[in-house]
Amino acid sequence: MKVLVLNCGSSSIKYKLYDDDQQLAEGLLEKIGTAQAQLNHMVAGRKKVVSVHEVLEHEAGIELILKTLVDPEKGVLASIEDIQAVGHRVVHGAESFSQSTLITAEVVAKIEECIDIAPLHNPPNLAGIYAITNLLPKVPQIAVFDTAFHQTMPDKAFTYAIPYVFYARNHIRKYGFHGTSHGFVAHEAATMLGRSIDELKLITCHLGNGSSITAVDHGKSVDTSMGFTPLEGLPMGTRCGDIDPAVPLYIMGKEELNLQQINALLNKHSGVLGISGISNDFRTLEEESSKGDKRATLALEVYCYKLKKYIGSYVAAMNGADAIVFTGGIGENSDVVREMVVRDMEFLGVELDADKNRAKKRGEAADISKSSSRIKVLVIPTNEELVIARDTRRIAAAN
Amino acid sequence: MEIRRVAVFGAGVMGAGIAQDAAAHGLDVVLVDRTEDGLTHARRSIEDSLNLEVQRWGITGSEKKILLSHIKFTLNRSDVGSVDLVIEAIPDDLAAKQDMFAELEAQFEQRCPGEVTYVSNTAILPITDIALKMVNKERLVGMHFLAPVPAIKLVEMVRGVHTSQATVDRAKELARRMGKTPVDVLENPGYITARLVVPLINEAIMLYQEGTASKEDIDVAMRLGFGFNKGPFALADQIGLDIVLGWSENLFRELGETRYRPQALVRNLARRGDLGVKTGKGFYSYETRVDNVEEKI
Repeated sequence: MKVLVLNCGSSSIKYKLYDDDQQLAEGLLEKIGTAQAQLNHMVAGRKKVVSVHEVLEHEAGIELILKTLVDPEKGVLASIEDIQAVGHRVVHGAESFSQSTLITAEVVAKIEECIDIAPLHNPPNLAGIYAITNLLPKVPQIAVFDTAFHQTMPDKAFTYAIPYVFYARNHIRKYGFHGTSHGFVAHEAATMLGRSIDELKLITCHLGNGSSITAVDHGKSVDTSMGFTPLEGLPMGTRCGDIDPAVPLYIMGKEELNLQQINALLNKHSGVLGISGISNDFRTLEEESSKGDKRATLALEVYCYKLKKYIGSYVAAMNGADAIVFTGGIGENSDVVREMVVRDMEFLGVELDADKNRAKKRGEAADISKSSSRIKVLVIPTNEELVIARDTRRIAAAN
Repeated sequence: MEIRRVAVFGAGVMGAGIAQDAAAHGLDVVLVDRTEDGLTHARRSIEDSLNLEVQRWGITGSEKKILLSHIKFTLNRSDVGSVDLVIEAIPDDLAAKQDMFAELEAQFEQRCPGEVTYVSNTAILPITDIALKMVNKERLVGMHFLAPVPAIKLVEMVRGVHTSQATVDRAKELARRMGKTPVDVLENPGYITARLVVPLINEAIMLYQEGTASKEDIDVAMRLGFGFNKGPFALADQIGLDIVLGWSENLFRELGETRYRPQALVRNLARRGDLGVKTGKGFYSYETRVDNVEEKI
């Protein structure tokens, strides 16, 4: 079955076209809303094609992508009718969706309701859904939610200790994000370990420009670090993660900042960028740290120390763990971060094989722990689009 | 059709502020002025304002660059091309505004006939009078933005006798797109804001000159006593004392009530060039804020 996977952001659309699990084409359309929107279209075995177009809104962007996919030179499809289903990444499904769902008018209405708590992410996701509804009205569409995997969290894990009325009235609670990725690597880990996911306790670390960590007990998310928004939890490239909630209040008063300024301070000027004053790119930080930059070193230490503490807390919460899984751009590619995180955890039964860690090749999965390690340390490349394609195929076939 | 591209004529404090704020909300802006000095000054003031916002953590350095890339500065009106809205932001001089709209209409009706909405950023003048030399008078509407434009979320929507509902709706769409709340007013002198604030400032000056209270205490009393964001003296400095003087003169002339009469103190400060926040000195002195943050990326 040929499935188109769409990830619509505010000014960009990422897409991948699959035939079953085989990827036929992928691309990224950026700068939507301008006359200089850039389309990068890639087909395996062919040269990347870059083109510039006037694309003023998402529907025009998706129309352009569909045209490119059937283009006699650039395309991979004979006809647009070959697309049998479309899967959408939808960031926030709140408590309405605990799994991927066939999109109906009722589902659209519920995703629209979630705009209130995901004002930046859900509107572009919806724009993609509206566009496909117009352009390919007969094709089934499936929504795959970032939050769905975490809907299994118990209330003791998702409830904030503020007046309960804010949960009851405003739905303020921990939701968690990156669910598609955490779920995918947890299942891949079970396969690597040759065991059923139903008997495993796993800690999955999705470390990219946004970072989160999840406790996966018997295949279910029981706790995760991101919260009501993706700001909670680990420090990230530019986000602060967990801090004393009194700090922003104090800074606002002291510096006379307004809501927009404090919001930008915590989301865009903080994290390892804020500490180092150099960059949010971990490769740059590692380089500067190795040259002796103290703040770059401190940024890496704060990041890894926080992650280590989360791992410890999730081992405690699940009463043990079988494996720690690293994924995401940093998790997959930074042996320095992995080593800093799991070093000196022998007490818990984590023994890193430093040689295997350093030798791990880009794009490959690997076990980087010693054979004696009670808790295995795995590196597994994530593939959220593949999960969306698989869910889309499964649900489209069943309907 | 969605509003995507606007032209702003007049690169003074208001024109530059409108251009900056429109660009910050994703619109493409062409900012036109008659002099190279005017454009240079506008560019510098927009950059200063954005630098301050970066220092105040509100935006990042790359967001600043993106925003600036949305503004085209030009001396040449014919560089403007097709636009959805034309905003005039030259000083409140009726004859100059009348001539400008006659010229703009001639230019844009030739290029994109029937499609452009014309906006005058006037604080005080009647829209019907400004439209005098226009052919399509129904397409002119007033939008009174207040300075500093990016910070003030209000715009007064001023309707003239001929202004059509479609024109008002279009201008309101721009206001909302720029994150502003529009309020409807008739074109009576001073609308809501200038009409109410001028007597307040005048009365505050009288209190001060009578020796009833100091400027500082008058401001504190109004801030804490009535929840004003700024007291009348700080407010006058923010508006600009040249602007306050212009409003007073106009209201006094139009309405004849002594409560609008320009105050000698304002006139003297304005004559000295002490215009308030924008010149660093007015009723109060404004030193450049020395930020204690470290170097930023």
